[in-house]
Amino acid sequence: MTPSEQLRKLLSDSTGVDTTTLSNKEIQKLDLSPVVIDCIQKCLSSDDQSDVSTGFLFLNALLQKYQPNAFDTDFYEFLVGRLEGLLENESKFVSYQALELFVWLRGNYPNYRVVMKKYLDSNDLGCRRIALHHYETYANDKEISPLIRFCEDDYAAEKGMNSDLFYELRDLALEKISTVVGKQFCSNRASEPYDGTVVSWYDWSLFFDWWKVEKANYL
Amino acid sequence: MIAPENISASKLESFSFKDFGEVKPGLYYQAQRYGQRGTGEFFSNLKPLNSMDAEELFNIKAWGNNAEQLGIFEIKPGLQAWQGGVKGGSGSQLYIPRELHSDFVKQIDTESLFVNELKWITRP
Repeated sequence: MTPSEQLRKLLSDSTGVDTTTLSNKEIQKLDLSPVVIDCIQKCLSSDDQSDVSTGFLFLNALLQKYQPNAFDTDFYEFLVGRLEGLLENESKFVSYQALELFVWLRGNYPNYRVVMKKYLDSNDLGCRRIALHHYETYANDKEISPLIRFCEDDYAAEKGMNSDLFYELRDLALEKISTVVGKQFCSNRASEPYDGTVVSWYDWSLFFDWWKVEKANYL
Repeated sequence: MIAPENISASKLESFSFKDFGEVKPGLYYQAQRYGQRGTGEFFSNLKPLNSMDAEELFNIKAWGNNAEQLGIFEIKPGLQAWQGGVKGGSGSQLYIPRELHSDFVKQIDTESLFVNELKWITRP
């Protein structure tokens, strides 16, 4: 039996849940125990992407249900050591899951800022998205220049099925700049035709006018 | 933490209720604009009968667009995603971020929702 199957069997035996496709709410019916933690650890130790994904799913669901200190120090020591190896996993999905936990456990990684800045500059949308979402966790005081490249980010996102589109990371970067600077640059929206509909984004011109004057005072 | 936080608030607003978890592999559908080339990020396991049905299921009129064609996709095993109800609609949906499409989403076909609508209206 694989570690993933063991974990599913634990859930099925103790709750009666059909474990074919699991959701957070179903997993949260499971009580946390040393056996469960051991199974999660075996999943995350596995070389099989399916095991690792299942381990992350259970860990995430149970961390939402329980306080982080419900997991013991040995588990966190294992996790901190394991995550760095999973960041470059050949499965994008596994690497994104590992990156989100890497952010959460950032106090354990002396190279945290270097790694996150690399992902912020990545051509991979998933890495770039996660790094931008967590920018505050590694940016220096008054540091906004790493965000400026997002003024041309072309990821056009939907708000719902077949909705109009928006340049999500372009907007998010300008919102973060506004927060760092303490000045609202997100007041006007620009738009253009895009694949049969319209894509919109915050106009960065207010920021660039300000940046010409204030650039020397910021990183 | 992990994937669930990595979705913008405006996307979560399109769900009436939601849960994060494993996605059952199989055929999924996406209401699209006529001639749309790109694949959107919202999918459903419900196949609309026609454009009106798609609008009712997925509340597409709220966005000012029409549902004129249907993208048909195969979702591969191993994916976890947000799934739930459509706010303002009667259908269900799941959100698959663009960066995961190459690993988990394969386009099978595109159908016209207008043709289906005409067939449905003239059905004896």
